[in-house]
Amino acid sequence: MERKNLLTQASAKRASPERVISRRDLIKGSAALGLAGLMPGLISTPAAARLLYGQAIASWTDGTNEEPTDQALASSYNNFFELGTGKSDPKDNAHFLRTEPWSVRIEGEIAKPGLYPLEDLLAGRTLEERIYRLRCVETWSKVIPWVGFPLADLIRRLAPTSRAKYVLFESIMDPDNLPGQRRPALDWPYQEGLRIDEAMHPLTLIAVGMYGEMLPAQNGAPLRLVVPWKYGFKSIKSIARIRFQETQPLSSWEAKQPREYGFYANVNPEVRHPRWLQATERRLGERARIATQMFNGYGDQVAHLYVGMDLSIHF
Amino acid sequence: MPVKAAKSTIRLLRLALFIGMSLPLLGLALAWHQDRLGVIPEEVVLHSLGRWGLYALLATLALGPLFRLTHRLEFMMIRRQLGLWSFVYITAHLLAWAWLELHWVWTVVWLELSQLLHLQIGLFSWLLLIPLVITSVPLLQKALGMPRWRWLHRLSYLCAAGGILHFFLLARGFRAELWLTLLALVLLIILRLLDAKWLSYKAELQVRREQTPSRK
Repeated sequence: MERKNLLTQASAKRASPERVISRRDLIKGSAALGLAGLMPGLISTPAAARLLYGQAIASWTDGTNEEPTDQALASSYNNFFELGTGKSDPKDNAHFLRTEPWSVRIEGEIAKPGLYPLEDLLAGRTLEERIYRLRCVETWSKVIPWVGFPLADLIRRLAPTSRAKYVLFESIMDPDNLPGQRRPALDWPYQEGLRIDEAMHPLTLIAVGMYGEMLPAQNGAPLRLVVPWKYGFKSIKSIARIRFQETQPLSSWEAKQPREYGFYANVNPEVRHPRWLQATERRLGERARIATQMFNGYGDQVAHLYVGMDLSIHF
Repeated sequence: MPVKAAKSTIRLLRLALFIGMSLPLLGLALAWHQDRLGVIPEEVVLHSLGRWGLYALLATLALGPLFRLTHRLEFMMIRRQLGLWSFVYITAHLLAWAWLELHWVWTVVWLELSQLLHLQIGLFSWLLLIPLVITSVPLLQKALGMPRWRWLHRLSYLCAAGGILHFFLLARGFRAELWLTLLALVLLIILRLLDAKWLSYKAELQVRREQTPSRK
């Protein structure tokens, strides 16, 4: 691919070497810390006892071998309009998000609807650490070690009926506390949706943590969706309601700008977006742009979900 | 009658403007050097340069009406420099896009330009500025002649409109700043039209006055 070659060339002539080194060192530093955490002799908590919400974290070997984005970067450059539209707003306004206690209303075409406290959703579950690429439609990307469990595990336990064709997710609605919800940036509460087979896909994750810690508010505490082959806005944050239904839900961005945001929102460098060229992306912490991969590089695992669909129409 | 401005005042004003308008540029460079521009400093630089360019352009357009309202010649004496500053910032904005955003990868520069409307409008508006910059040289200004120079320099309104449209196409969600720039431009255009009307009214009066004495 000619484009790819040119991009690699560009990354060879990075702007200022000192800067790159300092950022690299940062990343290495955090990686070293992570390693120390895994070595029982070095730090008081041995690897086997890495816990989150009282659950052991099992590592997942099938993920990407890419180096995770620096933890501080991953939690200081966010889109979370409930906490403000600027990139640093979510972190600055993180304290406005009240996460305790937290329950998720689960309803619709399932055998076991109800209001589920977070603790119940987590009880008896093995949490996994999974390193996924996250690609935002605004053409920046991160590599994040999420901690969570496959959404499919939860769905199976809820016993959906045959009419559960789609899943609607809804974020917290709390305009009294969330500054962003007092402005009409979007039609609140934020909603997203998946087709049931997408929701059941083994890659689709409910995350409750990242970098071995609880999710920070700005990254969608206390629980969020992670769908790594779709643009980031599909991975809804701070989930308060899940609804199983027969009809295709209308997601918030789709409702606001249907020409720009479709229901599927699969990462696709070929489909034109009026605001951003989707062929390349900027990995946070790196200077040069890299080529964006179809389905964010998860094509082998998810392309079959869209066989026979014209992805330029179902974008 | 316009009040004549003292030469020393003008010189001081121009120096102050020069220092004032280099400050944002220096501030950005310093903040970049000190790593104070956040997670993606390239993005902050790009956006700040574009913003300053647009503000400087709108401020330049406001100097004419300010002069006509206050009759203070100083406003006109700094107009050229301020106009050139807007060109400096907008050009730096364009370079920041090609360099800091796209690292001069021409295939990507071309892909972005061919696909994204806001970039096409932005580039077009920048191109419009070039003849204005060239004819800001006093010698060329004279060679062109004042009426034609004035006509040509009305392009600056189109350029500002292009810049604001570029900004609108990019923004996600409601941004007060956007609507304020639009409001400023609309006001400036209204002032310009009112002024033109007033001038033609005065010219008409003049013609009538010249015609009336023949009635005797």
